[in-house]
Amino acid sequence: MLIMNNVSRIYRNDTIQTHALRDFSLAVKSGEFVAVTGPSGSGKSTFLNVAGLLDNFDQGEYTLDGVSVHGLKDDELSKLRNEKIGFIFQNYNLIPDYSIFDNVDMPLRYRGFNNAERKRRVEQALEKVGLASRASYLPSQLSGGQQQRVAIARALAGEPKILLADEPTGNLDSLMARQVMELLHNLNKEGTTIIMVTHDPDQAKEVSRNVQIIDGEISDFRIYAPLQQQDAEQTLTPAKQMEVVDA
Amino acid sequence: MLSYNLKLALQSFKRAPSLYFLVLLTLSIGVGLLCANLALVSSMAGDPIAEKSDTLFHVSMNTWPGEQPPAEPFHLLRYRDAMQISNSNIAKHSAIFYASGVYARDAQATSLKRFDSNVRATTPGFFALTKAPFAHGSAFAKSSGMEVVIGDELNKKIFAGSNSVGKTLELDGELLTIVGVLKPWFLRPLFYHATEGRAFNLTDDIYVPLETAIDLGWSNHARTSSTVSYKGIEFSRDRNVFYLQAWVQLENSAEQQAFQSYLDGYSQTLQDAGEHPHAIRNELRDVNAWLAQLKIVDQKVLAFTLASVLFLCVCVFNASSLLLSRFHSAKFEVGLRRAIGASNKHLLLQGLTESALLGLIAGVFSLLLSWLFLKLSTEFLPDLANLAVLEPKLLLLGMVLALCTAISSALYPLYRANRYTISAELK
Ligand SMILES: Nc1ncnc2c1ncn2[C@@H]1O[C@H](COP(=O)(O)OP(=O)(O)OP(=O)(O)O)[C@@H](O)[C@H]1O
Ligand SMILES: [Mg+2]
Repeated sequence: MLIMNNVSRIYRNDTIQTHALRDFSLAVKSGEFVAVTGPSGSGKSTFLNVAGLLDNFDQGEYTLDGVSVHGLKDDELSKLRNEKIGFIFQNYNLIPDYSIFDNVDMPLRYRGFNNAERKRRVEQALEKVGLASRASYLPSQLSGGQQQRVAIARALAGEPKILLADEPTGNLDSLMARQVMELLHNLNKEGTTIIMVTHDPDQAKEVSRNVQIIDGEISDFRIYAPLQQQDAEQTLTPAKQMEVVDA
Repeated sequence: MLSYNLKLALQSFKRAPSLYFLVLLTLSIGVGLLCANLALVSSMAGDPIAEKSDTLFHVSMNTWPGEQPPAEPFHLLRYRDAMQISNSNIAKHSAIFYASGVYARDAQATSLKRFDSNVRATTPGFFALTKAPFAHGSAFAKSSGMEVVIGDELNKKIFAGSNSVGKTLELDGELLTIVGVLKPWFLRPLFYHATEGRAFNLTDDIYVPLETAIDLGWSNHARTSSTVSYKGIEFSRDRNVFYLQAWVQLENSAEQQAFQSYLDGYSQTLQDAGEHPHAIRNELRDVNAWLAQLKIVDQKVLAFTLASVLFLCVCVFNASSLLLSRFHSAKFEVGLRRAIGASNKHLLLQGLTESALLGLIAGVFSLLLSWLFLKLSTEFLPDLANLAVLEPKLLLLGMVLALCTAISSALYPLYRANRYTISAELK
C-alpha cells in the first residue's frame, strides 16, 4: 500500500537545517494498522505529512498504492489525496460555521459527485461514526469525542484506501479516546489501512505493528500481528522490515 | 462546482462583512470616479453625427475687408458671402444660420406666461444636413415666411408634448405658425455651433427661417464682428457684418474640390474688384476636424481623468492589501481544503469566483456612484450639465472595469494563498 525508501525531509532555516526525516524506509501493507510512536520532535508528524502528500520530501522514493509520487503535478497529488487518503488530525480541524453535514461533505465536493451521491455518502459516513442524527448541528454543539468522530466521517466519506491519523485521541479524555479507538479498530477490520501517530503505549500495543521514530529515523520496530499472538513479540531492525512485511 | 464556489463566496462575505464592504467601497469609489470622468470625456470627444460626419463641412473664409484680419480664416461670414454658399448647387445640402433668442407663448393661450427660448435662424437645408428628427410635421421649405419648427422641450413646456403643428406661437410679439415639431434631439458636442463656448449647449428650442429672423430684427446672440456701425440686424444684409455660420454637405472629394474652387473663384472676383484685401483662404473642415480645431475637449477634464486612473490604481492596491489580510486569516481553511483534496486550481477558481462576484456588486455600486459624482459636478459646474450623461456603453465599461479591478485586486493574495505549505496550519 505504502512504500518509502530512504526518504529524507530537511527543513532549512536561514541558520539551521533540521533533518526531520533521514533515510526513512517503511513499507505498510494493505489492511495493516500501524502505530507510530516516538519522542516529541522526532519526526512523526513529518512522516505522516509526507505520507499524506501534504509535504514534499527532499530525497528518496515514495510509492502510494502503486503510484510513484515523485514529480507528480499539483492536481494529480490533490486527486490522490482526495481519493486515496483520509486525514484525521489531533485538533479535528472542522470548519466551525459549517454544519456537520457540510463538514463531511467537503472532500466530496472536489470529487465531482452529484447531489444525491454526496448525500448518500455523507449519511453513510455519519451512520458509521454514530452521528447520523447530528447532521445539522454545528461542531461547537458536539463534545470533543463527537467532533473527532465527525472528522473521521469526513475522512471516510471519500472511501479512502488509507487513513492517516496524527494523535487522534490527543485532545480527548480516556473514555472518549476509547470510543474513537474502537471506531478505528472497526474500520481497520473492515479493511481500511490505518497509520496512526500516538503517544499512548497501550494504544500502540493494540495494533498490528508499532514503528518508533527517533530523530527522524526508525529506531525500533515491533510486530504484534496477528493480534492474537501479542505475546510472541518480535524486535526487528529497520533493515529487516521490508522482508518481514512482504513475507 | 460553480454553484459551490458561489456559495463559498457568499459564506466568505458573511464571515468578514466589514472587510468586504471596505473592499467594495474602495473599488466602487475608484471605478465610479473614473467612469464619471470618462462619461465627460466621451461626451466631449464623441462624434455627434458619426454616420455622415465626414461629409459635413464647416466653411471659414478670409473676406474680412478691414485692417487687422482674424489670424485664421474667419468662422463667421457676412450675409453676401453666406448667400454665395447657399446659392451654389454643388453641395447636396447647405445651412446658413445664426443664433438668437425670443420669448415664446401659445398665441391662443389665456396665460401670458412666456418662455425664454433659444432660436436658430436658418436656411431650410439645416434640417436635412443635421438630420434633425421630426416627431410631427416637417421643415419649412423657404428661407422666409412666418413659420417655425420647435424642439421637443419647448413643445412639452407650451403644448404638453402634443402635436402642435398648425398652432400659432407669439414670439416677441410676432405670430408664427408651427409647421414641425422635433423629437428629443441630443448632439454632443453641438457640432453645428461649437464656437463661442457653446459646444455643449442643448439643441435649439425654435428654428425660424433666416430671412424672417433678419427682417424681424431678431438680434444675434453669439459673436458679431463688423467693420461698420449699423442699427440692427435687419440692416446687416449689405454691410460688412460677420455673424453667420455656414455648413455644407459634400458627398465625395470631387464635390469637395468643386466646392473649394467655387469658393476660391468667388473670392478671386472679390479680390479682382479690390474687395478682398487679404489672402484668399477658404477652408472646409469636416465635423471632427472642426471640433478638433476648436479644442473643445477640456484639458482640465483630461488631466482629472488621468488623475482618476492613478487613483483607481491606489484603490486596487488598497483592496489588494485588504484581501491579503483576509486570505491570510483564511489560511487554515485553505490548508484544510488542500489536505482533503482541493487542488490549487480548485482554490484559484474559488478565489476568482469570489472576486468576480465582488466585482459585479462593485460594478453596480460604481455606476450609482458615478451617477452621483456627475450629479454633484453639475451642481458645482452647471456648464457640464448637458455632458454628464452615462451612456449604455459607459455602463458596460463601468461593469467591466469593476470586474477587472476586483479580479486584479485578488490576484496577488490568491498567488500567495496558493503557496502556503498545506501542513503548516493543520495540527
Ligand atoms: N515547518 C517546519 N519548519 C522547520 N522545522 C520544522 C517544521 N516542521 C517540523 N520541523 C522540525 O522537524 C522536526 C520534526 O517535527 P515533527 O513535527 O515531525 O515532530 P513530531 O514527532 O510530530 O513531534 P510531536 O510529537 O511534538 O508532534 C522537529 O525538530 C521540528 O522542529
Ligand atoms: Mg506531531
